[in-house]
Amino acid sequence: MKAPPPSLRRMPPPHVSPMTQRQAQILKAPPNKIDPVQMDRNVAQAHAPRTTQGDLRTDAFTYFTKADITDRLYNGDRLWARVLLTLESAGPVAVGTRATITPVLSGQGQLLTTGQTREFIIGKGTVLYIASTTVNRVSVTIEPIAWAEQITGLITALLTGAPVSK
Amino acid sequence: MTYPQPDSNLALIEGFNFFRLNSELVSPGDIFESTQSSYAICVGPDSDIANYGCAYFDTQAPDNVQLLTFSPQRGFSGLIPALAGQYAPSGRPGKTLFWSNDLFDPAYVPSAGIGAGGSIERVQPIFDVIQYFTEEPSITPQRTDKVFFYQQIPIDIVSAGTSYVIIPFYGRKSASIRFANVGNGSLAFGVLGVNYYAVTLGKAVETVIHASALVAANAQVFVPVTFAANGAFDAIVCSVGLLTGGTYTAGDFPLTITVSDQE
Repeated sequence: MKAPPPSLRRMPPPHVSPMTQRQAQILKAPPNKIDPVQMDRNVAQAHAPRTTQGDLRTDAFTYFTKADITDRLYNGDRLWARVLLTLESAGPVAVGTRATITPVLSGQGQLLTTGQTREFIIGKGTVLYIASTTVNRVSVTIEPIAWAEQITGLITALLTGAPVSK
Repeated sequence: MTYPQPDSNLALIEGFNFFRLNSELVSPGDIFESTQSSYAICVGPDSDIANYGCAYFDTQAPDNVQLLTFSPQRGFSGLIPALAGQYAPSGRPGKTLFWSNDLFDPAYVPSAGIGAGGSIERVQPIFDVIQYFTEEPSITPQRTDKVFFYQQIPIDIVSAGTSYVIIPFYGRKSASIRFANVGNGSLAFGVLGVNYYAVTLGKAVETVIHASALVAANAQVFVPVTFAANGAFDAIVCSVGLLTGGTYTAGDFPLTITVSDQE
């Protein structure tokens, strides 16, 4: 019997190695919101943060606290941000990431010190609250950190073994 | 006090790093308030009051109220937080209160009486307190010297009443009083030191510093007052009038009073 031409030969089934337990866990894990890491240095590693022009602008203003009112000083719903606070009056002024930071002297928040700049790195989804017992003058500077979420996401993906695209 | 009294919050909002209570004292019960925290409290430069009282919220003090006294010799340095809203006993916002510890009697009339046609020129004491919102390298609570100058004091030339000038002298160490008669008549001039009563209004303990005597035309009188020689007074009273034998025709009779915290 004449042998069939090579193009018609049936290819042997590909060799499939058994999936490791680790790989199975990764496939079952919910998809990471950070895109897979590219190993090609010529390809962008991650998408740019989705922002509007206003999100990337540094905001500087003076905030006047109100007596016995807790207010949201920065709502980190979009980007990470570096928030600089300088109390220009005598206080007491408390700031913190918990919704309940009053009474002001209860320790639920951190007390600002007059004339000393306090820096907070606020992650996405974190809210910075401020409260006082009286009217105070607080100098506020909010500097967006546009790539912080992507960078931390990529590092997390690398460290946890998330899928890596080729 | 002036009404409405200055607002400490407005001072902060308008950019000051201090709150200044600068007002005439109108009644002995005037109390001023601040809702701001302070790093230092001291007597202002224009103050006539020497001793001030201050009350602030302190849970470790009886009735949650802590008291302190400050004066030109002793300011107070230290953070006093404004704990508005935490004053539990009364349910009222906690405030820092200020008042004069020195007595003041707006109803005081010299015991010699005014007489028909007489008058009283009463200088209201200035209440001047400074509350700093930030840490100060130093505070200077010393008061400035003050000069009270009158070109002429209204006197009654018909019914021989007496006109008085009452100036605050709280805690002052010295005074220089100069009275000149540039007219053609002869006028009586005298000086009293006064300490107000704590309870009875309208009266005071009077100390004669310079007994009323005639000042001839174109003559002048100089009366020095010192803490060491004369003592401490709440006020100094200068009297001008026509004693028996005094006459008044025309002319000026300027009165200059300089008070100082220095001897």
